[in-house]
Amino acid sequence: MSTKLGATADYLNLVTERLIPPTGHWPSATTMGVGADLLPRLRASEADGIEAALLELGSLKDFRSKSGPQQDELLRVLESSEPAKFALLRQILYFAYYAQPPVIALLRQRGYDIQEAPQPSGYHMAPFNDDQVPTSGRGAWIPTSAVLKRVVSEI
Amino acid sequence: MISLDPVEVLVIGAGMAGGAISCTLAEAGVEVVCLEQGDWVPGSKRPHADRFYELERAFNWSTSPNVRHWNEDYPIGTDKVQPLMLNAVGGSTAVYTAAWPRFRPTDFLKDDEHAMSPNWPYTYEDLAPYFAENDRSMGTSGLAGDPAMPPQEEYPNPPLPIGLRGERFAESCESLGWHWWPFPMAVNSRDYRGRPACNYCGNCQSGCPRDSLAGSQNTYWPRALAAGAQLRTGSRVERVITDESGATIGAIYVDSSTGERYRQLAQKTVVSCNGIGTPRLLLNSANEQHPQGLANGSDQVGRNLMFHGLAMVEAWTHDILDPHKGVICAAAYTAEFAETDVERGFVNGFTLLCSGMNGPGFQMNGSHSGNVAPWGEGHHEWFDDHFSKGFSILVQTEDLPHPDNRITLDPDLLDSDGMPAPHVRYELHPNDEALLEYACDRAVDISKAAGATDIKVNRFKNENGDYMPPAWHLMGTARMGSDPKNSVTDGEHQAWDSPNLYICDGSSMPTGGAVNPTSTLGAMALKCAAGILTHLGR
Repeated sequence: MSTKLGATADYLNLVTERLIPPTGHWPSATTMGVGADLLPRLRASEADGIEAALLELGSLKDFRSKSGPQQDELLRVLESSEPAKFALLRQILYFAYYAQPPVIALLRQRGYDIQEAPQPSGYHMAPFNDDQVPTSGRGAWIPTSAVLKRVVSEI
Repeated sequence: MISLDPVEVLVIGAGMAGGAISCTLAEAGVEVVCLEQGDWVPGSKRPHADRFYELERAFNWSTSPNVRHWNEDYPIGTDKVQPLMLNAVGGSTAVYTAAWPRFRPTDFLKDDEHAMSPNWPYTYEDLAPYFAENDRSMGTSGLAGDPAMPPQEEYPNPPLPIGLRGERFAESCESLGWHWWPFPMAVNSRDYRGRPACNYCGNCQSGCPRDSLAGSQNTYWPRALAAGAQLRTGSRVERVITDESGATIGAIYVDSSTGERYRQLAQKTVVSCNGIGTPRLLLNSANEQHPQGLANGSDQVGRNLMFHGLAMVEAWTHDILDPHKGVICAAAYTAEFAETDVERGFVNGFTLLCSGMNGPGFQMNGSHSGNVAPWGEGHHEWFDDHFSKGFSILVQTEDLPHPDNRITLDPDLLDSDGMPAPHVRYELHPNDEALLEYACDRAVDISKAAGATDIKVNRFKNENGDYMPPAWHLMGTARMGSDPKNSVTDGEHQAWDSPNLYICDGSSMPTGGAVNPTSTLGAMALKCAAGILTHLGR
């Protein structure tokens, strides 16, 4: 990875750690390398959007030098002053974090039936059975022959 | 320009209608050529086995061409709506969710009912045999006997699992004393005609890599090709052409791989380019004989655009409901309010569909309602309270056709071949605003009955109150009718103004119903094809 991309990957790791903190059992974005994993996946348009958001946040050096609460404050300023840029950054980093195998492994340990990707295994679902057929008989339709003109003058 | 030998029937667009028509004609021995600007989308290309499937779905596999930007896409001039369109073999059925309800009898008789929309030139009963035939071709899974719909034959496949979210939705409807029924879907609940059963991966909105989900590409097109239909992909039609009398004689198209232009003449031409693409092509085909656009003597081409008034209501409970599993569109639905009741203060009705929520990334990003997980300290607690514990309700209302809701040619945007792109103008009628609000309230009723701890309503409005919906259903813009002054075609899809031209896709629909339209669209296409065969003397 080039130095520039490497720096961007590091920046994305740091931002992700503020958005989704590595507390408790939740894996760290930096340890998982979310940024480096994400960058090759982005199209130019999304990469440009990420770049624009990071530019607003300031340099990586400055961001890294700040404490966690100070980094949060920078993100809050971005969120209110450039909501579209922040929303794109947040959206993509949420996708990237929850695409990480250690995160999915944690979710499975916690009892969720979730795969890293929908295919090839899909999910098991119990087939529809006769016990589930509605029995109330509710529901109605108007036959062609019974369509009546409604008074709509008061609408 | 290279002139090609004339053919009997030229079909433009290989989507739901184009596929059904090409197949029916080819199987009857008609010489058919279909031009499709896109290509086949193989299962291996889809992102379902990629752990970044959610990122892919949001961008590279967005259902909107304005986000997706594939080579075969063209831009759509709008800053408000997010259209669902795909230029491919199968058309939009290559990325849709295969929801398969039928329009109801009153949907065809709105002028008789309240006169705020026109009648169709035929009734539900006229279309019924074609609904059944289309179900057999597509392999619809469902449960006959829905008391909210006319009696019908058994579906080819039993209903799909409704899952935990469907059970909760059903229990809620029952507690409210409302109708509910398992939702018909063109997705295999068991192996059917060489296509495997669904394995409930939940990622339908990027299409289906297994072909468990039916589109025209894996149902009608294999049959059409086996019967001798010719399908030319990468073939973008620039304009439909006429002779000096104004009768349609074929089309000019560009081969995207070579840039070469071709003139394909035909006895009959069928335009099936969807509710945005069809009026765009007709308008781009203006000539001396049709100065307002082909078949547009009525000035109706592009007008009366309908999308359905849509909203999403999402509910979260204390319980695991696994909304990432199963077909995304609908496990079950209620048609309790599908018919007009003027006591409510508006005409037309709506349906509420129990839908899924996609994977963890999507759920944290607000799923379909915009209920985004907070970042920072509260994120994990929000995750624990919400992930996998909710369900979505798609609120689907019938919108009125309004002449100012329309497709025109964009003054600035062009496609990659220099053709003017379409421009979309759409606003909700006051009737439809009231209807949508009432429908959202009923979806909230279901959410509360489900024991929701958190409910979020997405009315698809921006901070200025502008309605900015997903435009999944593209209808009305070259509608059928009985009067040439306010329609573009007759009831057999023949253009009033241009002999030998047929128009058949969602643009043909005079009203949109309160349900997903593709089942009705497919039936309509089969009926159109039957008419073409009669006109050809077959």
